[in-house]
Amino acid sequence: MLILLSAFCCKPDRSSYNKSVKFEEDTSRYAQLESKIKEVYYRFPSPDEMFVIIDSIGLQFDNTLLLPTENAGKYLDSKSQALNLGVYIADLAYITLFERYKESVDYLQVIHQLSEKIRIASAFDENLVDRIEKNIRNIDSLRAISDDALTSLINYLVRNDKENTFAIISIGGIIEFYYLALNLVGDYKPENQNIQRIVDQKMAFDNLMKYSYEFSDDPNVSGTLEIVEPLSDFLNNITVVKVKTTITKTEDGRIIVGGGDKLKITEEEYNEFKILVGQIRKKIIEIS
Amino acid sequence: MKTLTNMKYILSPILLIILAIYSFAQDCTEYHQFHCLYADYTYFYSRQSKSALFRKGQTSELKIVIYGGEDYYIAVCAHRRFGDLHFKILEDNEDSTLIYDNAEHDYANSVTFTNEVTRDVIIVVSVPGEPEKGKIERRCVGVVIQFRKTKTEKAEPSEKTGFK
Repeated sequence: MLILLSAFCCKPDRSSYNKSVKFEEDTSRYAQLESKIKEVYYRFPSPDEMFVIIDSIGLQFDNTLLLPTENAGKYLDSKSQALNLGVYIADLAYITLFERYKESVDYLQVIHQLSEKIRIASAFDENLVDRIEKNIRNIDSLRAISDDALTSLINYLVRNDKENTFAIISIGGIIEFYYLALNLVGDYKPENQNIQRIVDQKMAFDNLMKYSYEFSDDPNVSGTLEIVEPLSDFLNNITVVKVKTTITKTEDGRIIVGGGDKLKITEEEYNEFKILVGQIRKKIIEIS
Repeated sequence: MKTLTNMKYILSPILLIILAIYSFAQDCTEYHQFHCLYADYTYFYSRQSKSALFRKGQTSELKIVIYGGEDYYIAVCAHRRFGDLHFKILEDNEDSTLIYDNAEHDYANSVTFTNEVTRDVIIVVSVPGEPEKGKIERRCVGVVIQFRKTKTEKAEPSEKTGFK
């Protein structure tokens, strides 16, 4: 029907009209759709997924590490608003890990407020604030609400061609994840598996960098990439221990993917890593 | 001639509306959330899951991170007119180690596996067939990624339980 209508409506008044011209018109009409077809898509876990792999048993919640909610109103430009929205999203993931309902409500509300400032609040269910208030004492419901809110936010940004904003929010989020996780696990101990898990996030960081470079013609994205470049350089210099990957099958048919390259960080590098993350985080949260 | 020009002015906005509706129908953002099969409730949803627009004969790659000590469930889905999707999981290393190829498993639309070390993997998804020249058929293809902690064989601590 569409092709028929377009042929009727836009047919030029000339006898030389031919099939090849019509094909070109159809092609240009769909050029916008075609541009959405890509060959490679870079994906990276969200802060809540990153925290899930941290073994929190025996670790202490520390609310002094969080970015105070009062700061949200002080970010005036769109880059710092998006970056710090990412910071608050990671803070919420940290809060959820420790099941702190009071802070969950505060941080969900600040995420909503900051989203309104960068005009992406329509991503959320209009009853979000009501739902939060009705479930103020139920950590499971609050977790479900924050989960829905984050999924809706990401979907909204992708659907509305605001992936440049998503890149900035995600960079803010990963830096805050590093900051919280490194302070949570404390000093370097070679047997601490959580340290390895934090270092392994380099792969997520790399994918996020490649994803963000796709939008680097946006000055806000390129400015954000400049802030995190020293961390990118640092992570690229961590030693990789080469181990061959093995694919085996158990008797019950389960596939086991074993072996594979492993990142190895020294105590000195770990301390440098912590300082560097602290410096970058400071740049992100500072109020201009 | 004048009638034809007038028709052009009348029909152009209608055509634009139809195109807008058609474009909206091609929004694939949430396709996987509502069309792919999920694993059981023990698995968490990963936001690395993704849907995208494909045409017949097209291949695209999804680069993701999978964590060590986790079981993964990966499923693909598309409109049935696209037929059986072909998907492979490769490690993003020098050898491009093949982890899974559904062509060796009767084009199954999902796989579960245990991963011991954090690594980058590439999910390569292909829609069968050849692109037909002049025919525009694009549809959504979804990939769902879920994960859960791998159960270890460690014995439970022998604590006394019950009233005795």
